[in-house]
Amino acid sequence: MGNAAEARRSVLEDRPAGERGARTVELTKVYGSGDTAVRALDGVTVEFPAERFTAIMGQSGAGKSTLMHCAAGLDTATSGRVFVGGTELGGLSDRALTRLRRERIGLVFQAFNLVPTMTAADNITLPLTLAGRRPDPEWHDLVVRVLGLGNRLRHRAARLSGGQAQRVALARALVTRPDIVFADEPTGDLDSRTGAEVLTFLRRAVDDLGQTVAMATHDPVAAARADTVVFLADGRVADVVRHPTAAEVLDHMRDLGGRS
Amino acid sequence: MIRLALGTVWARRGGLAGLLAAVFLGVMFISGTLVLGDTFEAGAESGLARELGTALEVFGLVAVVPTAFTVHNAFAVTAARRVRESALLRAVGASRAQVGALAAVEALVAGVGGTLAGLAGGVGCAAMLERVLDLTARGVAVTGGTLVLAALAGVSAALAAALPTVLRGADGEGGVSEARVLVGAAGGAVAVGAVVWGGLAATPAMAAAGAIMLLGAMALLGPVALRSAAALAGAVAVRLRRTPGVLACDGASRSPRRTAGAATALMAGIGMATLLTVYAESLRASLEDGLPGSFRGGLVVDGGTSGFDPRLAAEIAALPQVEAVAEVRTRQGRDSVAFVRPAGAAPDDAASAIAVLARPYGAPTVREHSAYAADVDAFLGVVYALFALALATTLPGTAGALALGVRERAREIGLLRAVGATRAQVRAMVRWEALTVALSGTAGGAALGLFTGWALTGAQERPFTAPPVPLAAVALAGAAACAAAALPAARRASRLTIRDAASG
Repeated sequence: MGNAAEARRSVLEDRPAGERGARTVELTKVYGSGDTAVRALDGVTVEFPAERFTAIMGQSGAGKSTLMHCAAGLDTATSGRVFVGGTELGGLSDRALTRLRRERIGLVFQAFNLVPTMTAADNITLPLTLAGRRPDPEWHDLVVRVLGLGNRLRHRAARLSGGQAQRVALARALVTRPDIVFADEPTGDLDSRTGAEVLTFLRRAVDDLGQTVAMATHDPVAAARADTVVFLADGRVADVVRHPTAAEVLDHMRDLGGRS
Repeated sequence: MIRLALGTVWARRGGLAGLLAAVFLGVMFISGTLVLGDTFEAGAESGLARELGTALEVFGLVAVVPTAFTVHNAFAVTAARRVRESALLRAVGASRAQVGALAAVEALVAGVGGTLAGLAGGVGCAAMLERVLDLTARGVAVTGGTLVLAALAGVSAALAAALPTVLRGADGEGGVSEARVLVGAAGGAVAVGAVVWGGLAATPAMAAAGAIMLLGAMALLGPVALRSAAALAGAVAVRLRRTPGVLACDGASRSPRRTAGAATALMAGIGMATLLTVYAESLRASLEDGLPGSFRGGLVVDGGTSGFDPRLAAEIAALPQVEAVAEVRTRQGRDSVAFVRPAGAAPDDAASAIAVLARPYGAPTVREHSAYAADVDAFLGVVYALFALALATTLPGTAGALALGVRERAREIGLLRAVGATRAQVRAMVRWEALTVALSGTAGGAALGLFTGWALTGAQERPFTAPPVPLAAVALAGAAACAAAALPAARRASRLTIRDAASG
């Protein structure tokens, strides 16, 4: 991993570590209004520290996806603030938000991550192509190698297996050297073995490539691979656990389940 | 059941509006063209005007094909939702017939409504054109046959578009079947042969039949041609490094049948305008070119397509009121036209004397030369007005096809937005798809029109004339119409939120 360490150092020279990562302050999202209003997020303050793997854990409806979408600038919060790499998202125009997503945020969804008719290689470089830029060849090759995609690049996305597709999506998320990668249930559609494999690659993105990852999941085993687990319940932060084990995560989930 | 059906119709009035507009415009075009054709024929003072009238009638009939395509496309926009609804209805116990009846009621409402409005619009447009261009002294000729034919075309196009979709499920984007390509290619080859044969052997009927067959073959082969056009536009986009273009052509070639329907309607419109321009300009050329200047301003004896016996020309030449005669002879050894230079300053005398002589020869018309130019100008005016109408009829179909593409690719567009495509880039993507439609429709239409125009003028032994300025204007108008059609779909695409994509 000598090369990886070198590449990592050169990335870090670009931006001080303190300004990477992301955080939210008192983030609130309300859907609807009046009697039918639903508070999907209710004053959520979360830190996604740079070069760390943070998991957002909770049952369905707890607000995981809403938090991901608001933090990634895909959706606007009702109140509260979001910072990505030191930039506040609130008040940015649609155009500026689009640019920010393209250059400083990586996204991995649960499914339908890739343009099916394009090759894996074209999917990986898509954000750069949209920006009219070419990838940094050294970094691109490193990402492709670390994710084990070397011999899949020519395949059309429609013909990749679920695990391969998620790895290509992760490579696309990493190729711009974003401030943070948001992964929304990235293993939700995969069997447990393939899911574990994808988690290993998310881990390597942090450990070997010095990247920052935030992942929403409802799977305790997946959450246990993170450095920190933030538990959400009814749109609020219920708990934060550092260096978790699967058993600990499961216990917390049981406690949360008992409370609600 | 009826109440339920009408309730559904009302609930889906937004989706029906597109279908209604397509039927309306199609019927308006067909009925307007037929009425104008009849008007030319009824008011005909010459073989020429009769011939122009027949040409218009043939085009009114041919227009049924692109109308069917347009209506089908307009309906297909809402097909996916309809199929889901039908499936739900079937699941809770509706019979196939009941589901079909629901769709039929909907199609009938749009079909009948659009047809009635279209008939009124067509007759109205024709009457207005007649007034503006001052075609005849008697006003428009509206026949029952015209109304029945246009109405049948409108209602059956709506029913044909609606029923199979609902009964069998949405016709998928899918590829192009081999049978379709084979039949299209074979039909196309026979059609080209017929057109060339008709052009060279001077048999207009053969050339015309070949031309109509060629239009059908091109409609069948449209998707294949469209895929090539998309590949071409894609290559241009790659060369220009236009990412939206690359993505769009990807979409156009993925469901070529849908986009091809729109291109076919455009192709038919441009083909018609090109052919009729060539036809009319050739007519004008045959009446003016190669004619010694001294005959201009004289008289013309016009035998129409059947011509007259050359002995008549000899008799005319012998008249004392006549100074000289020039004949235009067909390959069958008959005269189609004779130009007459009257002696002295009394052309009316000469005209009446010639009319008396002409009576036993099938009474070819005798008119002043300048009247012909006026006829051709009036005809061209009608042609361009109809072309504008034809472009209008292609709009809902093209817009529908593009909107359908956007809907099918909603998740993909949302994904692109998520990973950093700007709204402008998404709009550009739809515009590029429209460009492939414009490209293939215009190129196909121009090729079709020029080729059949060459054959038809050849068959009638007239000089082939392709005036560059009007033809370029026709092509540009087609491209502009496509650009306009892309606007609503582009706006819809750029407004898709990432949430639409994430939630599927």
